[in-house]
Amino acid sequence: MIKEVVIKAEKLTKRFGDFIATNEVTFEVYKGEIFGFLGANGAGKTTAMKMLCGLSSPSSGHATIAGYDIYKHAEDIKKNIGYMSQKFSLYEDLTVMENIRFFGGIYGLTPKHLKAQSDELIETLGLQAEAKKLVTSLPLGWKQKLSFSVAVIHEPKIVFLDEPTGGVDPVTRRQFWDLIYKAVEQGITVFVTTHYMDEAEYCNRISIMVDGSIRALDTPSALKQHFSTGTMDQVFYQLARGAQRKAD
Amino acid sequence: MKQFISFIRKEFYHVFRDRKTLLILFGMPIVQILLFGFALTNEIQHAGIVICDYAKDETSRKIISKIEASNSFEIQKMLPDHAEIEKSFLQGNTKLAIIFPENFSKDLGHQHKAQVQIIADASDPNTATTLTNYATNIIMDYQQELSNERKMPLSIVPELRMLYNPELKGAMNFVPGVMALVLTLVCVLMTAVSIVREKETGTMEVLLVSPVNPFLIIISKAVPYLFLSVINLIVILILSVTLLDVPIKGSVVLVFAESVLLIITALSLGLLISNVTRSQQAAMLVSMMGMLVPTMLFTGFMFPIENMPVPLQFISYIIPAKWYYTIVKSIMIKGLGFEAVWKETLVLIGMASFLLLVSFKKFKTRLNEDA
Amino acid sequence: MRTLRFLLQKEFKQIFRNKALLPLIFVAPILQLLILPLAADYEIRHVRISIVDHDHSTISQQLVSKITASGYFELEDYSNSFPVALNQVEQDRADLILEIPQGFERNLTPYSKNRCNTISRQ
Repeated sequence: MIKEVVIKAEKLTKRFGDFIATNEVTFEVYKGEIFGFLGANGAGKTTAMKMLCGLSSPSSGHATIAGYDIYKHAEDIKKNIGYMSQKFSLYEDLTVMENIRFFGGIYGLTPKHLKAQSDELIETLGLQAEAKKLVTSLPLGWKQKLSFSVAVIHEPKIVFLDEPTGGVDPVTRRQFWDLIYKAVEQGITVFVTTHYMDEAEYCNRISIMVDGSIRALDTPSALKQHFSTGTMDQVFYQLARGAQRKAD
Repeated sequence: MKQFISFIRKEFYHVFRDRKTLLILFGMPIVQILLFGFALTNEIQHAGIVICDYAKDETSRKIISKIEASNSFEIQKMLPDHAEIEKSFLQGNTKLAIIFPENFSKDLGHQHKAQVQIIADASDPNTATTLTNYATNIIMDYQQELSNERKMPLSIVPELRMLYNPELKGAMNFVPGVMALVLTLVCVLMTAVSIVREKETGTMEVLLVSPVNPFLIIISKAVPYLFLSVINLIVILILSVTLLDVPIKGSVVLVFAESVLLIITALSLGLLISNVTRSQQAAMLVSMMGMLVPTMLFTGFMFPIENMPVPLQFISYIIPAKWYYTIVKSIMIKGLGFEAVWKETLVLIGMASFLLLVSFKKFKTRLNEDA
Repeated sequence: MRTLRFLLQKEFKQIFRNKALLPLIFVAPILQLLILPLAADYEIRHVRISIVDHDHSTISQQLVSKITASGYFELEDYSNSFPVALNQVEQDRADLILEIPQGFERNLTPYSKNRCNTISRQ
């Protein structure tokens, strides 16, 4: 069975003056995968992701997202991807419902479809009581889940998550990953960056970036076997030992 | 005590290592002294004056030469007919006009008393009063001279006429100034802060990843403030007309059109500021310091620009509010139409287009760099 | 376009929910409009004048009445003594001294100059 490639990056590079943030990064992501993009802070993961999302233009190299060329068809890419930023990308001074309606609206959902999706979202997250409350009053974990749900409200082919689980307790993190699994069941491919090594276990395949280049790319179990260790932390430690860049 | 000293020492380190603070701490007083010492003065020099001399005799000519010699005045034209005086005022730079009646000398000789008419552009009542006083002093000086010469008490009575603002209301000067200031400030500040806030909270990123056209994002930021500013303008105008007795002699529609133009210019400036600042605080600071102070000083409603040294006058040329102020005063207080203000309007349009172009381009480049 | 509508809706909601913003935008200009013309009126009034009259003639008294009637001045004191007037200025009770010399009326002829002393506080 041929796996459909939804993200294809070839020698993607980003330079800021003399500094090479992302160095000839090459990889493929298959449909329905959870692909983890790991690395220390400053390793270049966020830069790479920004290029894939269209937030940043590459200095050189090439990539295709959902079949669209990132140089020629950036607009089409945007319609087919979702994004959740590190800071949760929600408007704190709007209500839960208003946020949902807004993001659904700007992704072009028809009023009927929008209503259906909003209702379902609120149902799934159990936010009926909070629907009319300002987002700022929600606890962190709920904001996180809401943010993710809003990112996939338009049922995109791929959703990009930038360090989505910062600052929450393990239980909430587990619940968050449940949401991700549900989205994957619906056919959405998940591309997630993180510096929490234990989250690597939740992914189908991961890549580890050190100093701007990909040093490893495989399933978590294969990597652990390769480095003869039992935890992803150890794998990372072995790879990152010689790292030049300190965390920012 | 030792603890206290360590705190003080730490504070000094903070201050001296922060270039920006140093700049404000030492630079500002110097700038202020220079500005207030040299630039911002109410003393008027080289004011434009036109003279209509029907008498054309020795006495009138003597007075005219005194005026010519005076630093305060610069004689623009000797008009053959007083009907042209109005035109001279309307065309802009004339601040004062003096008319010597035909019988000037004769009246002085026979009745020992003569009249002179002084007409002043009172749309700026302070300047008008000052200039009228200067002129009156010159005439009184001459009156004294002539009286001594002829050993006879003579009196030359200046008859004063204040054009456009006979009651010399300061509000005539201030209302257009406040309009300019408020519209500029609010639009610049609000737009800048609003856009930077989205950058700070990270929602701007999300908007940029979405299929939304960045241009629409900018428009959505600008339109609400455009709307609010227009309402503000209406409130100001209503207050001015009812409470302060400021007239709108010219076309209200034109006032609004020019105001919208200024608003657009200010909004673009706000956008530009949002491109180069990263935090709401910085945006606010730049907007206030960079806009409030120069606009207040260089628009012309607090201190006449003509009295400033030339380099500073150039600064005032790049302040959009200055052009708007001239336009609005001409329309509201003098009742002029578009033909009189088209030059200034063109300047404003130029500024608005330029700023829009530059800030939008910067916005797009910013997209690619750090979103 | 729909997108613009959504964007504008969001912006307006955010503005109107911000309790500090709206008052600022509307109140500030109104305040300025009302206060500035009153504060920065350059016409000088209420100048407190202390007159020292050494002459006490009809003319000097006419001069004094004209000055007080003009509306620009407030007669703080009318005396004989210059030191008294000076003291008032120093104590910030007067802004201006007008000293009329003795023989003011007598010296007033059609074509001679007559002197009066005015001293003002800087």
